[in-house]
Amino acid sequence: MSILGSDLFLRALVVGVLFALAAGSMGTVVVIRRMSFFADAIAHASLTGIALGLLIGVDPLWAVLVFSVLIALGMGALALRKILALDTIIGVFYSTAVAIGVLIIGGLKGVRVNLDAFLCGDILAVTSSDVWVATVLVVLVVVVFGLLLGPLLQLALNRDLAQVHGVRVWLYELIFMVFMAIAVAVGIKLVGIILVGPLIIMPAAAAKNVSRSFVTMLAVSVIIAIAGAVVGLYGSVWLAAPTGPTIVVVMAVFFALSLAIRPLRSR
Amino acid sequence: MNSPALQLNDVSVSLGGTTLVENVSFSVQAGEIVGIIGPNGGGKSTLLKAILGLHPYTGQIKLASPAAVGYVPQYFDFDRSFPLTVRELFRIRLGRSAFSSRNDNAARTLLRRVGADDIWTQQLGVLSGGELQRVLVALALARQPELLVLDEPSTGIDIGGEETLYNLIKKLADEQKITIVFVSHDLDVVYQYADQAVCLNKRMTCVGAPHTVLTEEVIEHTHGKLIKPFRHHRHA
Repeated sequence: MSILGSDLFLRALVVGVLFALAAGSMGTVVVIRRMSFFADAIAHASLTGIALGLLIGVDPLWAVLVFSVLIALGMGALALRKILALDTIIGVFYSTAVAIGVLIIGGLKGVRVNLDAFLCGDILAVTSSDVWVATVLVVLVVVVFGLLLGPLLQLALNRDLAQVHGVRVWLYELIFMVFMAIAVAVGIKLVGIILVGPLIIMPAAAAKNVSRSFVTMLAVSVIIAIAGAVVGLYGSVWLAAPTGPTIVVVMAVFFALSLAIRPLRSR
Repeated sequence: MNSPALQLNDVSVSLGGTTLVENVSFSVQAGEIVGIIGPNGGGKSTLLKAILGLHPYTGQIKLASPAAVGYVPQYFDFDRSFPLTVRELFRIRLGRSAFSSRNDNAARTLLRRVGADDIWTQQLGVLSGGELQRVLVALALARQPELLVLDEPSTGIDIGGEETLYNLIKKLADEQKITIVFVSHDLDVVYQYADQAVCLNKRMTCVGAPHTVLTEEVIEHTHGKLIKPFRHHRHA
């Protein structure tokens, strides 16, 4: 039996579509708020989560989830204090977390670590418990994101105005950062640390090029994310190529198409 | 006399250890228009943000109806390629969802009040400065404000658009008794539209009817010697 009909592939497909749902929807707000670097930083910082998981013998998905949420909250709390610019805070957290992760993994005795799988993703790494955890997390994230979308968009447009209109800025900032951390944790096994960040923003960036309303942008972004994940997964099996890079190349093709269509749509 | 719609007693604002506004006191009656005038960096926007509760302050700021405050910010600095439409902006503001059409009629009524009903389906990013300001005023009116606070409302608008906007503000004050506080560095605008001028250059250097208090001496003190008071006639 080919891998395409196997439970293994099916599990990867389910997690891929779930990740695409979360990434495609949340990516719209990430792109609008110019937080692409933030998503990437959480993804890279999760290397320490993986390393800690291996060190203390906890499933890396949970370790990444907890560590990414903590990193997101740490960066968010510092950003809210307005002592430093967000990009400086991100730079400090991101490089520190990557360095600690590499040091811990390097120092692990008696544990063989397939670093490639963590860096570039591996569909063989997706277990059935991952599928259940991903389902619960993504349903939670997508539903709550849908409920909070109005305040999040107000925040994206103008922070002061949102605050005067009764939006509790700090609360929504933190919730959004935690959700991004969850999306990153879900996507990492499939596409790897290096590429999970870009995959959150690429569908939304492509959708922005071809949309004339936010609702259209959201719908197109989710469709592109799901299409990219599905085509990329099949493509990676056919080409015997790593999953993450294949999905990113597919997304890049979608993005290039959106750029080509953009002049036709502009007024 | 009724209790004031807005009263400031000895208000000071310090941010990051620097005092930006010092000992400001004035009061505003319902339906009155107040123009806060002063040089760049003189603390005008800082004072507005204190009134709005966005900056911490010392002293007292009393609002007759704290919940009924509308705000039009100076820099509505957003990504102009973000494809949010005016319709969606009102939907997320009034109904908290970009998908709900339940409050569309109310939103269109607000846009009609500011003369901007024809841009309902337009993207925010393609609006002119004047259109965007009118949309923001309509958005502020959704709170049914008793106090409307505008920060340099004519930034990025041509003369025609500016006149339309200030006439709209005056109409809101005259007809609906909405109290208006606006910030401007344009003396002419304050002369023409404000009932009360507040000169601010960290400290308050004048308060009262513009024609009375905006003397050459006060303006020199507030703005420096290069700017003289002037009035020019606007075309109707």
